[in-house]
Amino acid sequence: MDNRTNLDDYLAGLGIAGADETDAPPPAPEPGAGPVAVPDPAAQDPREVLERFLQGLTARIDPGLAVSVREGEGALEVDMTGESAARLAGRDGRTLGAIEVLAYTVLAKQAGRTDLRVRVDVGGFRKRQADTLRKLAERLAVQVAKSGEPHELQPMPAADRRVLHLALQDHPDVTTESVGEGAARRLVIKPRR
Amino acid sequence: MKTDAVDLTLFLAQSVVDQPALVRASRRGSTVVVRVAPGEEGRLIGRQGRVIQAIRTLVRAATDPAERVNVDLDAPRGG
Repeated sequence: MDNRTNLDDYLAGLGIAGADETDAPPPAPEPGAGPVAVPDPAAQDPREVLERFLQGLTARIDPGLAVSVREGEGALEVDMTGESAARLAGRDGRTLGAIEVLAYTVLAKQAGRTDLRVRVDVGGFRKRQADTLRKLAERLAVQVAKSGEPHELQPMPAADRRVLHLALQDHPDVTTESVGEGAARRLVIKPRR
Repeated sequence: MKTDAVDLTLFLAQSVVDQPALVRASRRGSTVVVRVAPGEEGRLIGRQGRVIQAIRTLVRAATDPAERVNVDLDAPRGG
Protein backbone atom coordinates (compact mmCIF):
# COMPACT_ATOMS: atom_id res chain seq x y z
CA MET A 1 0.00 0.00 0.00
CA ASP A 2 2.77 2.39 0.96
CA ASN A 3 4.62 1.84 -2.24
CA ARG A 4 1.54 2.37 -4.30
CA THR A 5 0.77 5.61 -2.54
CA ASN A 6 4.32 6.75 -3.07
CA LEU A 7 4.07 5.93 -6.74
CA ASP A 8 0.85 7.88 -7.02
CA ASP A 9 2.43 10.85 -5.30
CA TYR A 10 5.41 10.57 -7.56
CA LEU A 11 3.31 10.48 -10.71
CA ALA A 12 1.02 13.21 -9.46
CA GLY A 13 4.10 15.34 -8.76
CA LEU A 14 5.10 14.93 -12.38
CA GLY A 15 1.61 15.83 -13.47
CA ILE A 16 1.07 12.59 -15.36
CA ALA A 17 -1.13 10.64 -12.97
CA GLY A 18 -3.86 8.92 -14.90
CA ALA A 19 -2.77 10.72 -18.01
CA ASP A 20 -2.27 7.59 -20.02
CA GLU A 21 -4.46 4.55 -20.49
CA THR A 22 -1.58 2.39 -21.57
CA ASP A 23 1.12 0.94 -19.39
CA ALA A 24 3.77 3.43 -20.31
CA PRO A 25 7.06 2.69 -18.64
CA PRO A 26 7.52 4.70 -15.46
CA PRO A 27 9.61 7.84 -15.77
CA ALA A 28 13.37 7.59 -15.57
CA PRO A 29 14.94 8.45 -12.25
CA GLU A 30 16.00 12.04 -11.80
CA PRO A 31 19.68 12.60 -12.39
CA GLY A 32 21.57 11.79 -9.24
CA ALA A 33 18.45 10.41 -7.62
CA GLY A 34 19.89 6.94 -7.23
CA PRO A 35 22.27 4.36 -8.60
CA VAL A 36 21.98 3.89 -12.35
CA ALA A 37 21.91 0.15 -11.82
CA VAL A 38 18.28 0.45 -10.71
CA PRO A 39 16.58 0.64 -14.07
CA ASP A 40 13.10 1.33 -12.88
CA PRO A 41 12.41 3.00 -9.54
CA ALA A 42 8.69 2.35 -9.64
CA ALA A 43 8.79 -1.33 -10.53
CA GLN A 44 8.19 -3.63 -7.61
CA ASP A 45 9.08 -7.24 -7.19
CA PRO A 46 6.35 -9.15 -9.04
CA ARG A 47 6.14 -11.86 -6.45
CA GLU A 48 5.69 -9.36 -3.62
CA VAL A 49 3.08 -7.48 -5.61
CA LEU A 50 1.17 -10.68 -6.25
CA GLU A 51 1.39 -11.87 -2.65
CA ARG A 52 0.18 -8.55 -1.34
CA PHE A 53 -2.80 -8.59 -3.72
CA LEU A 54 -3.74 -12.17 -2.86
CA GLN A 55 -3.44 -11.55 0.87
CA GLY A 56 -5.76 -8.57 0.53
CA LEU A 57 -8.14 -10.76 -1.44
CA THR A 58 -8.16 -13.75 0.90
CA ALA A 59 -8.47 -11.50 3.96
CA ARG A 60 -11.81 -10.40 2.51
CA ILE A 61 -13.00 -13.72 1.11
CA ASP A 62 -11.80 -16.11 3.80
CA PRO A 63 -8.97 -15.33 6.22
CA GLY A 64 -8.57 -19.10 6.67
CA LEU A 65 -7.16 -19.45 3.14
CA ALA A 66 -3.41 -19.88 2.94
CA VAL A 67 -1.63 -18.53 -0.12
CA SER A 68 1.69 -19.66 -1.51
CA VAL A 69 3.40 -18.22 -4.59
CA ARG A 70 6.07 -20.09 -6.49
CA GLU A 71 8.19 -18.71 -9.29
CA GLY A 72 7.99 -20.98 -12.30
CA GLU A 73 9.32 -20.45 -15.80
CA GLY A 74 7.78 -17.25 -17.15
CA ALA A 75 4.99 -17.64 -14.67
CA LEU A 76 4.03 -17.16 -11.07
CA GLU A 77 2.21 -20.16 -9.68
CA VAL A 78 -0.22 -19.60 -6.88
CA ASP A 79 -1.75 -22.27 -4.71
CA MET A 80 -4.49 -21.47 -2.25
CA THR A 81 -5.47 -23.98 0.39
CA GLY A 82 -8.13 -23.96 3.06
CA GLU A 83 -11.61 -25.10 3.90
CA SER A 84 -13.29 -22.87 1.34
CA ALA A 85 -10.82 -23.83 -1.39
CA ALA A 86 -13.24 -26.22 -3.07
CA ARG A 87 -15.87 -23.51 -3.25
CA LEU A 88 -13.37 -21.12 -4.79
CA ALA A 89 -12.53 -23.62 -7.49
CA GLY A 90 -16.17 -23.45 -8.51
CA ARG A 91 -17.77 -25.73 -10.99
CA ASP A 92 -15.42 -25.02 -13.84
CA GLY A 93 -12.60 -22.95 -12.45
CA ARG A 94 -14.27 -19.69 -13.42
CA THR A 95 -13.46 -18.07 -10.12
CA LEU A 96 -9.83 -19.09 -10.50
CA GLY A 97 -9.84 -17.58 -13.97
CA ALA A 98 -11.20 -14.34 -12.53
CA ILE A 99 -8.44 -14.25 -9.92
CA GLU A 100 -5.90 -14.81 -12.70
CA VAL A 101 -7.26 -11.92 -14.78
CA LEU A 102 -7.07 -9.54 -11.83
CA ALA A 103 -3.69 -10.80 -10.66
CA TYR A 104 -2.27 -10.31 -14.15
CA THR A 105 -3.74 -6.80 -14.30
CA VAL A 106 -2.25 -5.94 -10.92
CA LEU A 107 1.16 -7.29 -11.96
CA ALA A 108 1.11 -5.27 -15.15
CA LYS A 109 0.18 -2.11 -13.31
CA GLN A 110 2.21 -2.36 -10.12
CA ALA A 111 5.23 -4.36 -11.25
CA GLY A 112 5.26 -3.37 -14.92
CA ARG A 113 5.33 -7.01 -15.93
CA THR A 114 3.13 -8.15 -18.78
CA ASP A 115 5.38 -11.08 -19.68
CA LEU A 116 4.54 -13.15 -16.62
CA ARG A 117 1.67 -15.58 -16.66
CA VAL A 118 -0.21 -16.16 -13.44
CA ARG A 119 -1.59 -19.56 -12.64
CA VAL A 120 -3.91 -19.85 -9.71
CA ASP A 121 -4.68 -23.23 -8.21
CA VAL A 122 -6.69 -24.15 -5.15
CA GLY A 123 -5.87 -27.27 -3.22
CA GLY A 124 -4.31 -28.85 -6.30
CA PHE A 125 -7.58 -28.64 -8.29
CA ARG A 126 -5.89 -27.41 -11.46
CA LYS A 127 -3.04 -29.85 -11.07
CA ARG A 128 -5.45 -32.77 -11.01
CA GLN A 129 -7.22 -31.28 -14.01
CA ALA A 130 -3.89 -31.06 -15.85
CA ASP A 131 -3.08 -34.68 -14.98
CA THR A 132 -6.42 -35.70 -16.44
CA LEU A 133 -5.70 -33.72 -19.61
CA ARG A 134 -2.28 -35.32 -20.00
CA LYS A 135 -3.79 -38.77 -19.74
CA LEU A 136 -6.39 -37.81 -22.32
CA ALA A 137 -3.61 -36.53 -24.60
CA GLU A 138 -1.74 -39.79 -24.32
CA ARG A 139 -4.84 -41.83 -25.11
CA LEU A 140 -5.79 -39.70 -28.10
CA ALA A 141 -2.24 -39.73 -29.43
CA VAL A 142 -2.30 -43.53 -29.54
CA GLN A 143 -5.65 -43.43 -31.30
CA VAL A 144 -4.48 -40.87 -33.89
CA ALA A 145 -1.23 -42.74 -34.52
CA LYS A 146 -3.21 -45.93 -35.11
CA SER A 147 -5.89 -44.47 -37.37
CA GLY A 148 -3.72 -41.93 -39.18
CA GLU A 149 -6.66 -39.52 -38.92
CA PRO A 150 -6.45 -36.15 -37.10
CA HIS A 151 -8.58 -35.77 -33.97
CA GLU A 152 -10.23 -32.46 -33.15
CA LEU A 153 -11.00 -31.74 -29.51
CA GLN A 154 -13.77 -29.62 -28.01
CA PRO A 155 -12.98 -25.90 -27.62
CA MET A 156 -11.08 -25.25 -24.40
CA PRO A 157 -9.26 -22.42 -22.64
CA ALA A 158 -5.72 -21.50 -23.66
CA ALA A 159 -4.25 -22.86 -20.43
CA ASP A 160 -5.74 -26.30 -21.05
CA ARG A 161 -4.63 -26.33 -24.69
CA ARG A 162 -1.17 -25.44 -23.50
CA VAL A 163 -1.11 -28.48 -21.20
CA LEU A 164 -2.00 -30.68 -24.17
CA HIS A 165 0.52 -29.04 -26.50
CA LEU A 166 3.29 -29.53 -23.96
CA ALA A 167 2.24 -33.09 -23.20
CA LEU A 168 2.58 -34.07 -26.85
CA GLN A 169 5.35 -31.79 -28.10
CA ASP A 170 7.94 -34.58 -28.15
CA HIS A 171 5.58 -37.35 -29.11
CA PRO A 172 7.09 -39.50 -31.87
CA ASP A 173 3.85 -40.16 -33.76
CA VAL A 174 1.68 -37.02 -33.49
CA THR A 175 1.80 -33.23 -33.53
CA THR A 176 -0.68 -30.67 -32.19
CA GLU A 177 -2.13 -27.46 -33.51
CA SER A 178 -4.75 -24.97 -32.33
CA VAL A 179 -7.46 -23.94 -34.78
CA GLY A 180 -10.43 -21.58 -34.67
CA GLU A 181 -10.75 -18.21 -32.98
CA GLY A 182 -11.69 -16.93 -29.55
CA ALA A 183 -13.89 -19.13 -27.44
CA ALA A 184 -14.10 -21.67 -30.27
CA ARG A 185 -10.35 -22.22 -30.38
CA ARG A 186 -9.55 -25.89 -30.09
CA LEU A 187 -6.76 -28.37 -30.36
CA VAL A 188 -6.19 -30.77 -33.23
CA ILE A 189 -3.97 -33.80 -32.80
CA LYS A 190 -2.49 -34.87 -36.12
CA PRO A 191 -0.37 -37.78 -37.21
CA ARG A 192 3.30 -36.84 -37.64
CA ARG A 193 4.64 -37.71 -41.11
CA MET B 1 -17.45 -17.19 4.93
CA LYS B 2 -19.04 -13.80 5.30
CA THR B 3 -17.80 -11.34 2.75
CA ASP B 4 -18.72 -7.70 2.54
CA ALA B 5 -19.43 -7.19 -1.16
CA VAL B 6 -18.74 -3.46 -1.02
CA ASP B 7 -15.44 -3.88 0.79
CA LEU B 8 -14.29 -6.62 -1.61
CA THR B 9 -15.30 -4.60 -4.66
CA LEU B 10 -13.52 -1.54 -3.31
CA PHE B 11 -10.33 -3.52 -2.75
CA LEU B 12 -10.40 -5.09 -6.23
CA ALA B 13 -11.17 -1.79 -7.97
CA GLN B 14 -8.41 -0.02 -6.04
CA SER B 15 -5.97 -2.73 -7.07
CA VAL B 16 -6.39 -2.08 -10.79
CA VAL B 17 -6.45 1.73 -10.98
CA ASP B 18 -3.71 4.33 -10.71
CA GLN B 19 -5.49 6.42 -8.11
CA PRO B 20 -6.86 4.02 -5.49
CA ALA B 21 -7.64 6.84 -3.08
CA LEU B 22 -10.27 8.15 -5.49
CA VAL B 23 -12.24 4.91 -5.78
CA ARG B 24 -15.69 4.80 -4.17
CA ALA B 25 -18.02 1.85 -3.85
CA SER B 26 -21.54 1.80 -2.47
CA ARG B 27 -24.50 -0.49 -2.39
CA ARG B 28 -27.68 0.19 -4.34
CA GLY B 29 -30.06 -2.71 -3.85
CA SER B 30 -28.29 -5.82 -5.07
CA THR B 31 -25.76 -3.79 -7.05
CA VAL B 32 -22.41 -2.52 -5.90
CA VAL B 33 -21.77 0.73 -7.72
CA VAL B 34 -18.16 1.74 -8.27
CA ARG B 35 -16.81 5.15 -9.07
CA VAL B 36 -13.20 5.76 -10.15
CA ALA B 37 -11.12 8.83 -10.91
CA PRO B 38 -12.05 10.56 -14.19
CA GLY B 39 -10.28 8.84 -17.08
CA GLU B 40 -9.71 5.63 -15.17
CA GLU B 41 -12.93 3.92 -16.24
CA GLY B 42 -11.01 1.96 -18.86
CA ARG B 43 -8.77 0.47 -16.19
CA LEU B 44 -11.74 -0.81 -14.24
CA ILE B 45 -13.46 -2.21 -17.29
CA GLY B 46 -10.43 -3.71 -19.00
CA ARG B 47 -10.14 -4.97 -22.54
CA GLN B 48 -13.48 -6.36 -23.67
CA GLY B 49 -14.75 -5.88 -20.13
CA ARG B 50 -12.48 -8.57 -18.78
CA VAL B 51 -11.52 -6.78 -15.57
CA ILE B 52 -15.00 -5.73 -14.45
CA GLN B 53 -16.31 -9.18 -15.37
CA ALA B 54 -13.62 -10.80 -13.24
CA ILE B 55 -14.56 -8.52 -10.34
CA ARG B 56 -18.21 -9.55 -10.74
CA THR B 57 -17.32 -13.23 -10.81
CA LEU B 58 -15.24 -12.95 -7.65
CA VAL B 59 -17.75 -10.86 -5.73
CA ARG B 60 -20.51 -13.29 -6.63
CA ALA B 61 -18.40 -16.29 -5.68
CA ALA B 62 -17.64 -14.74 -2.30
CA THR B 63 -21.21 -13.78 -1.42
CA ASP B 64 -24.45 -15.66 -1.01
CA PRO B 65 -25.49 -16.89 -4.47
CA ALA B 66 -29.12 -16.06 -3.61
CA GLU B 67 -28.12 -12.41 -3.32
CA ARG B 68 -27.04 -12.26 -6.97
CA VAL B 69 -24.79 -9.32 -6.32
CA ASN B 70 -23.96 -7.26 -9.37
CA VAL B 71 -21.09 -4.82 -9.81
CA ASP B 72 -21.43 -1.80 -12.06
CA LEU B 73 -19.47 1.26 -12.96
CA ASP B 74 -21.21 4.43 -11.86
CA ALA B 75 -22.57 6.22 -14.92
CA PRO B 76 -21.06 9.64 -15.38
CA ARG B 77 -23.53 12.35 -14.49
CA GLY B 78 -24.27 15.73 -15.95
CA GLY B 79 -22.76 15.99 -19.41
